[in-house]
Amino acid sequence: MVSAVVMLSVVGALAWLLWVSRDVERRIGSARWVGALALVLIPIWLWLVAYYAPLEEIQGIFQKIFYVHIPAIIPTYFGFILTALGGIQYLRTRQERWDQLAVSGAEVGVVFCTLMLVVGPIWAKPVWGLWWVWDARLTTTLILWFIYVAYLFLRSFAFGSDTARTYTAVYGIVGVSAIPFVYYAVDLAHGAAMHPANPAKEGLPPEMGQTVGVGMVTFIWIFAWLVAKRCELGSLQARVLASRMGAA
Amino acid sequence: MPWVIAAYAVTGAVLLAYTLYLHAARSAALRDQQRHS
Amino acid sequence: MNGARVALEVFRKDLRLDLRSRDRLGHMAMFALLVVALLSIVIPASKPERAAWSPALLWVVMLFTSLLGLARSFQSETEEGAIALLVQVPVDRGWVFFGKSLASFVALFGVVLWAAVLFTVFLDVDWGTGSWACAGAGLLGAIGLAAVGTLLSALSIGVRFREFLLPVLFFPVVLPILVFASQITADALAGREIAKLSWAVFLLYDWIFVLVGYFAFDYVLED
Repeated sequence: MVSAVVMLSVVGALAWLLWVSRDVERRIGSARWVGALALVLIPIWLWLVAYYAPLEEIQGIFQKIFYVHIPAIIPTYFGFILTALGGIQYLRTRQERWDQLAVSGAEVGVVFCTLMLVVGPIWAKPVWGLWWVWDARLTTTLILWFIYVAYLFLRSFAFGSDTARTYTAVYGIVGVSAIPFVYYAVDLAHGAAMHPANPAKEGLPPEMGQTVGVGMVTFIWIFAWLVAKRCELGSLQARVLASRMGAA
Repeated sequence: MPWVIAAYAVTGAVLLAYTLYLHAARSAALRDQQRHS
Repeated sequence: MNGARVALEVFRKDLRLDLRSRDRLGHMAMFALLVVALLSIVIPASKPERAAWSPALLWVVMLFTSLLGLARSFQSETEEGAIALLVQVPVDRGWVFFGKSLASFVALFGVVLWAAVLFTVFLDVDWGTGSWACAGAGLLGAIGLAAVGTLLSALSIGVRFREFLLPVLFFPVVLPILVFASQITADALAGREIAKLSWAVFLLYDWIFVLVGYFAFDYVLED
């Protein structure tokens, strides 16, 4: 039930973003509803974290960090998927809207990826005694972060908007192709992971599962709102640039 | 306990900061647009 | 005009350039020599420790040396303003990618062999029965580095801060090569059995990036 709602949110958010980005400046008005949804979900989620989810035996209060760490996963990977998808479609159609989606996915994705890499250690230190381990999941997230950042650097260092867009579209594809190999390679090299096993497989108490689910849905819609707003910004900036060059 | 607060506070702060950046950049772009039209 | 002929021409031209001027090859060889020498001085002298570290270090040396060589992949064309000629080629520009990356592969495999010699001499590596597996890892590693490197080298032509950007683009993407190659080398040297799956995934990685390079080059060489 929880995973169904999460899946629905992902599909819904993707569909909305694809629709908004087609004509972002005119359709961005719909973002206020998404923003409102997010603002409603946030206090509900926080209340659930504080009062509804039971205290875990072994980790105690620190386990509550779980509810802000896990929800960041979907936006982190969703962002990169948007970047790759936007890149492929941009190369095929040369429509600016796809490039805007790609860059927005990268920028917002890197924000969530950074959050994962910062909050994760905040959880790990009190619970495992270590800030970091090089297991497959953490390492892949770190490498993903590096790829995101490389993408953004390439974007800002390339001259000419067309070149920048084409180059980053290709790099997005290169990056997304590399990620599964990174995961497999590190898994191979470092053997058994220290990272807590996937709770869904272990069976979480229902209240915990539901709280995580609400957190995931909340973050998905925050992510979607940010991506849409970033697309709008990109479109505005492109227009300003165009009119400046037209006037020159 | 402070760790827990830190985790949520950092998350909130980062998301808020990015939102504010988007807002500021948008206002700047709109102003630039006014100037050039 | 046949695509394969174009690829062959590009390959031949690059190879001739490399062999005649010896810039790229010479610089890579010298760089590798310097780094291995430094490493040999710094890492602990005990044999087991050196044996434990050698596979990983070999591939780190390959990583940095290949970066040096790959950054120059398009140097001759950029200097002579010949990029336009590459762009106007009447076939799929992916064939240009094949030619260029093949030339880089030859150079990189040469560097692998050179690095192996250096490690034998400086770090007392005993290849033993593992030699063929190590050579295989070297082959697959060189292919991967050449494919990804050629594509990314093209992606950074005319971009600012290229000396910074190319490694930043390159390293995260080729991490799997580093891991696969050094793992296989380590297993081979220790006499452990190497999982067929490792070879398969390594091969898959190379295959995917050769394909990505081929298809992407049409878009990359569009200026």
